[in-house]
Amino acid sequence: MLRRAKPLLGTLVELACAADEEPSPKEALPDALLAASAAGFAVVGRIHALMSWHKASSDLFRFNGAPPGQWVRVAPETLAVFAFALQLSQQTQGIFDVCATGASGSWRDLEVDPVNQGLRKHAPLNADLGGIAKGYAVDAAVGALRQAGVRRGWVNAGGDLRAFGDIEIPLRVRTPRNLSETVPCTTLRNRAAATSACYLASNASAAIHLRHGVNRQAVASGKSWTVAAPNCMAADALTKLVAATGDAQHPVLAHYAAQAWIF
Amino acid sequence: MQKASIANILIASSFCAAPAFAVDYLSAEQARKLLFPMAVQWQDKNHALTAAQLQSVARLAGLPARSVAWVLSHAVDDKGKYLGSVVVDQVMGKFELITYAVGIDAKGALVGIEILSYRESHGSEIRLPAWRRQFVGKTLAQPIKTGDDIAIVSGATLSCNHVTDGVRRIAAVLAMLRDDGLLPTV
Repeated sequence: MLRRAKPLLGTLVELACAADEEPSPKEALPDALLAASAAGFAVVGRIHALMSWHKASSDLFRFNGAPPGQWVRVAPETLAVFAFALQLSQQTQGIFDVCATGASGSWRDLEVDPVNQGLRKHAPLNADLGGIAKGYAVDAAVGALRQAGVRRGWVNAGGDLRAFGDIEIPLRVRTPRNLSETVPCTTLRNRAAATSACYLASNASAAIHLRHGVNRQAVASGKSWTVAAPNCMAADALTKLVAATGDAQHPVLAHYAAQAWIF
Repeated sequence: MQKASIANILIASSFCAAPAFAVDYLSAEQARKLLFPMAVQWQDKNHALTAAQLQSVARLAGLPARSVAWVLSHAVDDKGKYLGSVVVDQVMGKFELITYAVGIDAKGALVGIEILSYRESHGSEIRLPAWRRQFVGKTLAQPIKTGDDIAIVSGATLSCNHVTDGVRRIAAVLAMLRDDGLLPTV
C-alpha cells in the first residue's frame, strides 16, 4: 500500500494505492504506484487551479467577475461541477445553492451550456464551489488512479473520501463536542463519504458555505453532518442539504443512494 | 478482501493516555528520492541562523522565522552537480502535528512537498513536551515507523495553512542562505 499526502484544496489530500502484491515495508516504492499517485495529485492540482475562489486565473474567478449576460468558456471539469450543482439546486428547490454565500444572486440566474462549454449569469451573483469541488476532485483522482491501473485504494481530501476496488474502510467521525474524540459511523466499500461542520472554522467566513440556500441562514453550530454516497461530489454537496434542513432522511438523499448521519 | 481492523484506528501512544490518530506516509528518505530522482548523493548540512539571518528570513517569508536550527539535505547528481535541497520540518495545528518534506531546486524554485506523517491529539496534550518529544530527532535515516493500519476520520476540513506557511518559511531560509553564499553553487 502506497500512501502519499500533499497540501492541496486548502487541506491535506491523501492518495492510497494498493499494490497487487504487497512488497515488504522496506522495499523501494513501486514505480507504477508512484506514477499513478503522481497522476492523481496532478488531477487534484488542476481542479484546485480551475475552481479556486481566490486565484485570478481560475475559471470560477473569471465567471464571478464576468458581467451578467456574458458567456464564459470554462474547462469541462468546471462545467461538470456547475451542471451537478444546478441539478441539485433544482431537486432541493434551492436549499443547495452555490450562490448562497454571496450577498445576492441565486442558482436560478445560472445557465450552463454543455455544448459550447459555457457558463452565463442572468443577474449579478457570486458562485462558491467550496461545498462541492472537493468531492469532485476526490472522484477525479479516483478516476486517475484507476486509469493508471490501481485496482484498490482510496482518496481522502481532509475527510471527504472515496474508497474504490476490493477494500473496506471503516469510517469514524469527529465528534463536535470533543474534537479529539471520534465515533464509528459506517464502512465504505466502493463508496464515498463527506462531513460538514463549523467547529474548525476560525471565523464566520470559513463556514460560510454552510448556509440554507433559500433563507440564507447559517446552519446551527455544534453539530456535524455526514453523508455517504456512491460518489464524493454527491456526498460532499448533500452534506450541505442535510446541514441546512437538519433532515437525515431528506427525500433527495434516496435519489443519490445516499445515507446521512447527524452527530 | 482487505479489511482493516477498527481496533487499529485509535492508536494509543505510549507517551500519553488519551487516544491519538496517526498516519505515516513516506519516510524522509523516500520523499527526498521522489523530490530529486537524479540525486545519487546526499550531503546533510546543519545551519544555525544568526539574528541578522533570522531577520532576513522573516522579511523574505513575511512570517516569523521561528527556528534557529535548520538541517538541509543537499541533493547531488552523478556528475557532482548540486540539484537542490530537501528540508524536513514540522508544523502544529489545532490538534495535529504534521511532518513534511520540501524540495527546493538550485535556483530556489519549489520542486514539491510531501507529507511524511500526521499526528493528532488533544489540543492541550499536543503542547506537552512528552507528547512532542516522540517526534524529535526524526532524521532522514530514521522514519518514525511504517504504519499500514487503515484509519480514516471524517470531519470538518482541517486547514493546511500552517503547512503552506512552513513551506514559505523554508523557501525563505534557502533564499537567505543562497544570498549569503552558504549553499553549494550549481
